[in-house]
Amino acid sequence: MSKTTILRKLEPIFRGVLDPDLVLTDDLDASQVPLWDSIHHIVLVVEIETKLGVTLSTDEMAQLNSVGELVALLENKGVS
Amino acid sequence: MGKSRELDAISTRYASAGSLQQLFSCVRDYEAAGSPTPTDAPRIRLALAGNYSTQMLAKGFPLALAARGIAADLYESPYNQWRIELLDPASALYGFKPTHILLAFTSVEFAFASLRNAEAVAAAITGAVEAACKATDAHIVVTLPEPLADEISDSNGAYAWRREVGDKLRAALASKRVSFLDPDPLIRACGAKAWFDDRFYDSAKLPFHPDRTPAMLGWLADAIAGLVIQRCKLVVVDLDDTLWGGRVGDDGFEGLDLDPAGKGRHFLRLQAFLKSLQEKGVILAIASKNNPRLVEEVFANRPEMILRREDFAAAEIHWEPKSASLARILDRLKLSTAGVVFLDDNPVERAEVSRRFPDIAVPELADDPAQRVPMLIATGLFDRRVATRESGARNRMYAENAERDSALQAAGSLEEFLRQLDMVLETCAIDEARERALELIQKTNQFNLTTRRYNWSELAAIVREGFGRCYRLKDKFGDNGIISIAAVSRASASDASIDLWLMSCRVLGRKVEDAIMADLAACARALGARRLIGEYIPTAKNELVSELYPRLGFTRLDDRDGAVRYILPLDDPRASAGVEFIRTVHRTAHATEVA
Repeated sequence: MSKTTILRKLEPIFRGVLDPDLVLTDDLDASQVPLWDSIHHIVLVVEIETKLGVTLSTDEMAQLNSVGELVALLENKGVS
Repeated sequence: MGKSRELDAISTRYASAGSLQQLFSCVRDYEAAGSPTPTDAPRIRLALAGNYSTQMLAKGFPLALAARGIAADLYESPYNQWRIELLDPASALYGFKPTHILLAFTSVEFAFASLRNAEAVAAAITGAVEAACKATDAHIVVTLPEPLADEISDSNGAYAWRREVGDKLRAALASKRVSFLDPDPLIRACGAKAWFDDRFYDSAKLPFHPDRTPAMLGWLADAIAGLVIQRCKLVVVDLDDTLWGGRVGDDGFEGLDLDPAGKGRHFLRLQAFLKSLQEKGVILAIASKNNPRLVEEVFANRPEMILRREDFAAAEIHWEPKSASLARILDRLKLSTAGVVFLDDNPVERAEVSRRFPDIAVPELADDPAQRVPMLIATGLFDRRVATRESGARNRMYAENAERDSALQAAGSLEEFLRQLDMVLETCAIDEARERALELIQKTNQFNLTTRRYNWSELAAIVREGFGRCYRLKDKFGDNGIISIAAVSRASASDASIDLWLMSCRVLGRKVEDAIMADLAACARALGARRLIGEYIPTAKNELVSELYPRLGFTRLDDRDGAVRYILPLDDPRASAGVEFIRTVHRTAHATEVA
């Protein structure tokens, strides 16, 4: 349940940073979105931190390779 | 026009971008609009290199500069390749032919890389910058190492390290085309807590929080813009309760507050601020409702004054409206209202000037003199600009100009006056005054026939088969410096074409352009040309010279690509007429000969 809520919160962030038409699914990763490069990855991290009020560690930033991993991480951090 | 409105709208949004996402969103819209630039914008070629990831800055630069009225082509050096790119004369950076090179440095990398001590860091940067000065004509901007996040006290030596690097660099590179930027004030303005975030250095080689990118970019773009566009060229200042405390008419020169230990300190501080602007080439003038005799007494009898009477190129001291004083000062100094700032403590006077001259910057002067200088700095009107040797001497030249005009009023007829000036036009090859030539190319808008903003290599290419000339004007009042340059290309066996010709408006109305034309014609004949072609490309600012070629005897040839072309056969007597009362002298580095 809370996974879906997190996805719904992430979708506008991803749309703002990457692509206004993006549909967010668990298995979406950087290789499927042309603009999702290392620079835009940093923009995503910063936007997620400010909009969802979480802080990611350096290791966590580097490991986020797919939306699924991100959702799991945010769930662990108590985002719901 | 649609394009420029689009740019305005994006620029406004860009100006308030507070996060990286907002910045990128503006950049996307800017690129989607076709990356528009303002009409008649000066064009630069900016190469960006450094020791951290500059990708985000590089993405934002074209928009940041367009918003500041500059069209920029950008080259970004690969991550941390600054040394190699600058030391290798065949590097891609030099291949780009930059007009400006920006070196963005962070202490973080220096502090932990092999270049650990201050001496080694300063030597590495100095060596690379010296190589760049040899390899290009570009102006080089270096950001000095920033304070480190853990620089809480000097116990770990970080502060001393940073100071030492900055001092060594300034000392080693003082005479070169190099500007230094100290990021300290920027970081203080953003707050250290918001600035530093080490996680992003590890993950993205970014030495500041990504959301500080817009602030960093704006700070860097301001510095570059300051080199390209002259923001402030003339400050007209009031006297009573502005330059000194009190009113000389009421208090007498002896009663004015200039006490460095009291409230007078703030007036002296404003004087010191104006003095520093003047040293950078800004002209100063006085507009005061006062008795001129009393004002002279202040300058003569108050040694605490930092500004001396001769620091002012013009003075209007009487009881007429300040707007009339401004009009007369502009007229005497031959300046337009662009880049003029008026300082007065009286809001009524400020409003009166604003109403007549909406283009003149009239910043508020707080009632409390203590707040004035910080408020003036915060307006950004006086942001850094680079002074060449010519600019340093400019105030004196403007003062001499003003004297010339007083002589004109006394001399009767114009020709009589011009004869009495004893003008000498010294000519030399353009590469003997490179720096001044490039400065004039960037800055001259009014007397500029083609407004081509060439860099040195482009200029060199044009004059290779033709010739380039610089003109210095001297007269009995002094040296006006180099006031005009021209570049003539060889269009064909029979034709020479004036590709570039511009002149400082300071010397307008003295028939100097007629004398220059005679010299250009002589040079073209010496090359074997039979006809001289002149081009006029209209811009928003060069209406002044729209009829110049017809006046000099040229006839209209054709219209081509927005340029009107004129032609003059070199055997036409008008091509060698010259001006009787201007003596032309050719000067080489070694000798002077009469032409």
